[in-house]
Parts: sequence; structure tokens; C-alpha cells
Amino acid sequence: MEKTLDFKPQTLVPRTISKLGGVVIYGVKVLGDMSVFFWTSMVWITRPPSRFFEILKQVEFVGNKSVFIICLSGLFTGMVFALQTYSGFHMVNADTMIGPSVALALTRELGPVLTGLIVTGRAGAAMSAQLGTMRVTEQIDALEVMGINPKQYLVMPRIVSCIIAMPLLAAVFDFIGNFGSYFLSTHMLNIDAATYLAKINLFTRPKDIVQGMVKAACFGLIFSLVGTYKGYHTQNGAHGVGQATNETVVLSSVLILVSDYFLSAIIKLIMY
Amino acid sequence: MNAKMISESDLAIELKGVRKSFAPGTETLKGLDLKIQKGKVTVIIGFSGAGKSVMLKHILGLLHPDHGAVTVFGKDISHLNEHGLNELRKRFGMLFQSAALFDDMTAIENVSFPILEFKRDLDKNQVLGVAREKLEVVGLGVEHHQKFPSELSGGMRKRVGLARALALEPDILLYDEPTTGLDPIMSEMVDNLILETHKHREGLTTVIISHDLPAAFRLGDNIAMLDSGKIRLFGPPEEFFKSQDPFIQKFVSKVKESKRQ
Repeated sequence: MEKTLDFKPQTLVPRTISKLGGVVIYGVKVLGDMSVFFWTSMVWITRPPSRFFEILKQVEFVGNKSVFIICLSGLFTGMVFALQTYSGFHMVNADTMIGPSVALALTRELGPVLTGLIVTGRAGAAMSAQLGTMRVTEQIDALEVMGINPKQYLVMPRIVSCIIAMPLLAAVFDFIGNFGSYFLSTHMLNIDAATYLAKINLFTRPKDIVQGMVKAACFGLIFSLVGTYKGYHTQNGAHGVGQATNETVVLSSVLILVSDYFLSAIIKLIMY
Repeated sequence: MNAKMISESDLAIELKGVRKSFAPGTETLKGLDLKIQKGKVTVIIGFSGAGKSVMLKHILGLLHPDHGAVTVFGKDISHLNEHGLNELRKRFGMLFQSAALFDDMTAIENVSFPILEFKRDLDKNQVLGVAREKLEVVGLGVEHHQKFPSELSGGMRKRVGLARALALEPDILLYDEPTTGLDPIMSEMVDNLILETHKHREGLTTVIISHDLPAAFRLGDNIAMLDSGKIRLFGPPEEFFKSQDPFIQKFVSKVKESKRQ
């Protein structure tokens, strides 16, 4: 058994397969660890004492404090999307299709995905750095010694708050993005406002918005889980905190983009 | 008093044949036996890597032994579930090497925190009253109560850490290298604070992990010398001075030397 672990293939193909196998094994291990971490944190949601105020505090941090950057990003995303689609639609004399194109793209995909990526950079990284610092300065140990479960006090409120705040932020992103597109189309591209809105009403359905909200909640779960997991298991002082933060942003962003495809496919099967 | 002569009812903590390994072939604790008496100051000394911190984590139930048992007030903690361990930990107070204060809370909020968590029947003013009293016991002036840890000196942080450890009136107080990183004057102040705190609360069991040998011999009613995962010698300071073991002699000579200085 030991010998097989020491086996180092010399030729290119076996070596590549061996490396690939190592990556897969590591990935499966991390995924398993994260699942256990998630479960052992979330079981505390129903157990006393109530952490309602910690959850509210985190909703304020993740949600309220991200509103400005989400509005700014949403506004310009909607405007640029309208501007780019205009040139295409104008060629086939279908300028009024800008409204539904922007609305569908924002509600189904761009809203949740861009919100997920932006909030990962802001709140996910902050969570990882904060928990990482608490770990290396023994503050998490201090909680444990006091008889306070750190997963209940620190991890669970952060995960729950992200699942709550992300759909709300994605909704803000959608609204502001559509407003930006509407403003640009009606004031600068001379599209009739009533027609613009009527077309949105015609092509966009409530389930498109629901789809985006479900995705946003899933992305909230992904980046908060990665951020708290990486932060909670930080080692090696300040260097470790930096590394955990970096890994949180990279891994969360990749997972958001990859899971977006699978979520879209599943939602398409269920809802459409 | 020899470790073997301590009766069961006098024991606060007992480690019986504790073995712990983190990697195959390397044992950190190699059948450690230790009896810590109620109401006494026990100092654990030893070289770096001897297993002092691992032993402390076993006492707190943060680590579980591969073999052997850890008993706190007659209860084997190896078999306690999370809830049972948390209940037991409420009887402990601990001063960390770095004080481990919550950096988003002020000094008084740090001390209030465990009281708010576990004494939910008290209103906010009562909690603040208890926290102020604890800060007064450790000698931290009122003008520092609203300061954040980053605004306090190393010695002040230790005081706040000690006040927080005392907040729930623990039965056992643990100190993890309390004077590491402090200047000699501040170290002496912390040592005196440890003694005063011990005298202030009747029946309090104090366990100190220390590198500071002269302080260990000054503070300890009993001293346990940990060497390579085992207790080399356990007893009052006089036993160390009488010991013929060259390893112990080396330590004792350092103490004598520092006394002469």
C-alpha cells in the first residue's frame, strides 16, 4: 500500500495522469471537508442560544454595506449592455428588443453572477480575513475555551446572512441595471419608453426573476462557505491569512461561474 | 507532597497514561501521568516541544487522547459530547499567551462577553457592573475600559484577558505562558497578579504553563517538569532542589543562578 503512494511515473503520460489523479483526490477531500464543515455549522441554527442578532449584524455587513457598489456596477452593466446590443438590433431594425434582452440577461444571469463575484471580493474576502486573523491570534480558541461554539457564533450567522442578503442584492442589481438600460435607451438612443416597457412585459416572466434569486442564494452559500472554511482553518500567521483570503476569492469566483452552468441546466429542466 | 499521596477527592485534574500522536511513529505525549490538586498553584515547565500546550489542550477537551484518560473534577472528559464539554469549560478560565482579546470589542466588552453569553438573566447594567468589578480586581483603571485591545499595552491586555478569564468565577484558572514577550518589570507585575488572583478566590485551582523558571519556583505550590511527553518530576519546589537527576539539576542551577543575580 505504502509502495503505491511512493510510485513516481517517469514518462509524460502516466506522470500527467498521476498529477491529475492527485488534483482530483485533493478536490474530493476538500469538498468532503467543506460538506462536513457546513453540516456541523448549520446544525447549530436550531440549538440555543439564538444567534438572531449575529445573523442580523452579518446581513447588515454583507447586504447593506454592499448596496452602493452593487448599484454602481448594476447601473453601468445595464447601460453598457444596452449600448452594445443596440448596434446589433439596429441593423435588423429591432431596436425595441433591447429592453427584453437586457432584462432577461440581467435577471437570469448577469444579476446573480456579477453580484456573486462583487460580493465575494468584498464580503467573502473580509470573512476569510477576519476568521483567519481570529484563528491565528487564538480568538477562536478563546471562544472554545469559554464554552461557546465558534461555528455557531461565527460561521453559521455568516452563511445564513449571505443566503438571505444575496437574492436581495441581486434584485437591486437587476432593478438598477434595467433602469440604466431604460435611461440610455429612451434618452440617448431615442427608443419609445412605452414600447420599451411593453416589450419587457411581453418577454420577461416572473420565473426569470425567481431563477436569478435562486442562483443568487446559491452563490451566497458558495462564497460564504468557502470564506468561512478557509478563514476557520487558517495557519501560519499573517502569511496564512493572506493565502486564505486569496484562495477564498479565487475558489469562490471559479465555483460561482462553474455552478452557474449547472444551476441553469437544472432550473431549465424544472421550470421551463 | 508527592503526586502519589494526593487523594482522589483533592484532585481537580488527573491525566492517566495519556498518549497522543499527530503523525505515525512520533508521539507527543508518551503515557503522561499528572495529578493537579484543588486550590493549589501548579506550574508546568519544560523545554519547547515537550508537549506542554498539547497537554493543556487535553485538559480543556480541545484534543482527545489516543490512549489514557483525562479526568476533571472526577469526570472523564474523553467521553463527553460537545454539549458536555462546553458545560465543563464554563468551569475553566484561561489567560492566553497573547491574551486573545476580541479585537472588535473594547476592554469592558471583552470582559462582559462571557457574562452576557452565560448569565442571560442579568440586565445590561448588572453585566457591566460585574465586568467593571473584574477589571478593578486586576487593576485596570476606568480610563482604559472603553479602549480597544490595539490601544492597550501588553501588560494591560493581559489584565483584561485575566479579568475575562475571571468573569464567570471559574474553579480552574489556566495560564499559557503568561509572561512571554513582556519586559522583566511587567513580568513581575503579571506574576504578582497571578498570586493575588489565586489568594483572592478561595478554592481556585491555578495551572500555569511557563518558561520562566525563577517565576515558576516562586509561584508554584507544585511543579511538574515535562520532558519528551512524560512527567520527569512532580512535586513542591524543594523536591527539585533535592533531586539528583542531572536533567533536573540543570534546570535548578539556572534558578539558583538567576537568584544570585
